Amino acid sequence: MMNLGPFTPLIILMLLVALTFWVVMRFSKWRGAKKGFWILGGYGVILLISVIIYYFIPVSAEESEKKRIDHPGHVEIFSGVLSGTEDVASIEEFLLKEWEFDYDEDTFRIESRGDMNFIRVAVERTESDGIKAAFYRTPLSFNGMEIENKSIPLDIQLTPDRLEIVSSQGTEEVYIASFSKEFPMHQFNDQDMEMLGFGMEMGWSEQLLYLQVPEDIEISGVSGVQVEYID
Amino acid sequence: MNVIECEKLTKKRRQLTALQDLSFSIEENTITGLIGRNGAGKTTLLKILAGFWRPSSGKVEVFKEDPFQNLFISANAIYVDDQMRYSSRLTLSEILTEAERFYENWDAELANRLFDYFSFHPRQAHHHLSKGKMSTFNMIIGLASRCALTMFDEPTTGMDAGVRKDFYRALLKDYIANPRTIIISSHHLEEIEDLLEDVLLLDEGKKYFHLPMDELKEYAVGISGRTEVVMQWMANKEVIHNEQVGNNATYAIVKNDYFSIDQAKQLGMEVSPVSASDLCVHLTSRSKGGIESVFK
Amino acid sequence: MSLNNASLGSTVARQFKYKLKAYNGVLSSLVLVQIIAILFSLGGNGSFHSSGGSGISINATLFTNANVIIFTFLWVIAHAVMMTTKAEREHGFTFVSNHISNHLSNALFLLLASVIAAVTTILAGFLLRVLVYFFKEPAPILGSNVHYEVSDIFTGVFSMTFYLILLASAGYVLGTLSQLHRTLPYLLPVLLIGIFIWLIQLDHSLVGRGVAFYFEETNALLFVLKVTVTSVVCFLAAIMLTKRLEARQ
Repeated sequence: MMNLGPFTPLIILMLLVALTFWVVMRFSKWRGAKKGFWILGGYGVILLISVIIYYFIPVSAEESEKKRIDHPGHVEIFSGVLSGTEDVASIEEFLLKEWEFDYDEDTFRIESRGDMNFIRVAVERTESDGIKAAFYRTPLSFNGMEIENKSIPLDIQLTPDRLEIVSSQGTEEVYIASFSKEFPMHQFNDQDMEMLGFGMEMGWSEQLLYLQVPEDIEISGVSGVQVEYID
Repeated sequence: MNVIECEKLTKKRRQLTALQDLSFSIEENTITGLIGRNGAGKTTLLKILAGFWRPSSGKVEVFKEDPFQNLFISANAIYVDDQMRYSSRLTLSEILTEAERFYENWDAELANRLFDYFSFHPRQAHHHLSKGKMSTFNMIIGLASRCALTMFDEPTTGMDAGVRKDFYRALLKDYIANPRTIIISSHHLEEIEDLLEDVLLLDEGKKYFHLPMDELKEYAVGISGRTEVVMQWMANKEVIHNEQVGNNATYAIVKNDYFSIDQAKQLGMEVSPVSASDLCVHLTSRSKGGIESVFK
Repeated sequence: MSLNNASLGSTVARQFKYKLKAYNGVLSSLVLVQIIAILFSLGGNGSFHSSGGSGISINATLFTNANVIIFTFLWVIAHAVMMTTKAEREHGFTFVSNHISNHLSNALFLLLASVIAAVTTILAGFLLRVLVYFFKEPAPILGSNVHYEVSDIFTGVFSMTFYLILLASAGYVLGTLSQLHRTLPYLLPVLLIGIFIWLIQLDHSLVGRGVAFYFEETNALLFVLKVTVTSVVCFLAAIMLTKRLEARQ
């Protein structure tokens, strides 16, 4: 069969043109001068009602107040900590969960179960006593709008000879309806030109599991996960 | 005052010459019959007068102005024919309402009365009317608009005999009550000859004559008698038409030069008046002998 | 019988009122066209599915009123062309009129139609948002650009009106041109597409620059000026083209 792929938009456009012309020609033959005004009037009323309802939809008011997120900065947020130039306290606002364990042995292994591709693991040697783990995550954003995500995708278990990172399987489905404004609204706005695109921009979260391990405990091995050591 | 003045008016449509060197004038407040066979140029002339068409050469003036695409002419001259089309989205009563808005002299009362008399339905669509009904409706528009120049082009197309009579009566009554210049084109002169004051006869785009009705009635006489007598008598006269009737008799139409009718009668010939309608048909017949000659 | 003077202004006003009645079917077709467009829009104009490993899977759908805008653009062109067809032109000469009054009253009608269509187009954006909010399953989080500023509405209606006027004028003059000869309604579209392709081959950016001339004009005054001048030129051309054309053929 011939590949019509590249012509699809053209064919659709032709069909639209034909449809529109057909409707115009068809309706232009209508008799009785008042019918058209009634139909337009009815449509106008529906539109006005939808405008009124729209202003009662809470989201429309909230959106303008919500702070917009500059997502491209996310990666850098953790880089300072990972390179050791900044203290872990600087990313305090992204902290989601903390674990603390007392550990008496001299050595342990780090193991992981499940998909760890999206979580970076960093290990800092400290002089304190117990092992501490903290999970950080930058916000998830869609077209600059923050999407709330409270789920913790992992759990940590400490057994006498190993620290096990278990990533959870379940994912939460989130449905988002995004809109783009009618282009004539941007006519007189110099900056807004790029908003015209139908693109959807996803700002993914950066996730970091930050382990603080006392210096006197030896990490005998790591498996299933890449670990970055902080100097 | 002359409402219409044409001088050497010529109209060519593609290769065809529809009107050729036509010169005439029509006075204010007269009813003129525009007579001629099919294709004589009647419609062409009227459309030029109404400002729809442009003459190829020559001069045409209506109310002293060039009518082509002239708003003043459009407001004061109406052209009614069976091709009149209204937006198919309007009902008949809406068309009347719209017409009232356009024509300053519109007589709404007359329009409504005629509308009821001819039993039109207000919500009917114009393009669904029968031919005769459509002509009747157009005629109502033509009469009620009370334009100073009102032109009817074959106004009775499709009308039955009763409606035709009603139309002519209505036209005459309204004309007397509100005199204006009216031109009616028709090839049925016999129907309108009582109505007309003048007749403009066109033949192949040329003016044959433009005469008052009274003169037209005496333009020619019919002579019948034995063939050889009639033939001999006709020798130095202008013969418009002659035909064999019966075995040895001839009927001829001869231009009336005020010759002695008594003399003719003494020669044993019968003299009869010729109806304007017959006269016009014979004047413009393509070949002497008429359709009969085809079947010889 | 007294003679009446018909001024161009009063004749145009009368014809405009007549056309309001005669072309009211156009308003019904606008409603139908926009409702069809909104129904198309409900499916979304783009979607996005991804799970980023952070325990969340995103299903995003982009809703846009672009369908309504495109349909309305086509509608106004179709109507402008329809007005120039022979039958409609003949109807224009039914009552007191001439070419100029006919074109001017058509222009007025298209102007009004453009304003009406611009208002309904922009308000249709609200309808779309309300429909998505109440009837979309599963109920989505409303994402970006849900909110309209009041200024958005006014800017939208304003510039949409001028876009419609621009397209209507272009459709009108092309429609008028195509009426000059009976082969043109078939020939002209082919010719236009041919010229279009030729222009693209000649200079890639030419067509883009032409569009940008109006589309990227961010100065309101200049935008209005550009559209107005273009439309006036289109209608003057239409008047000139039909100046010697005979009516009631």
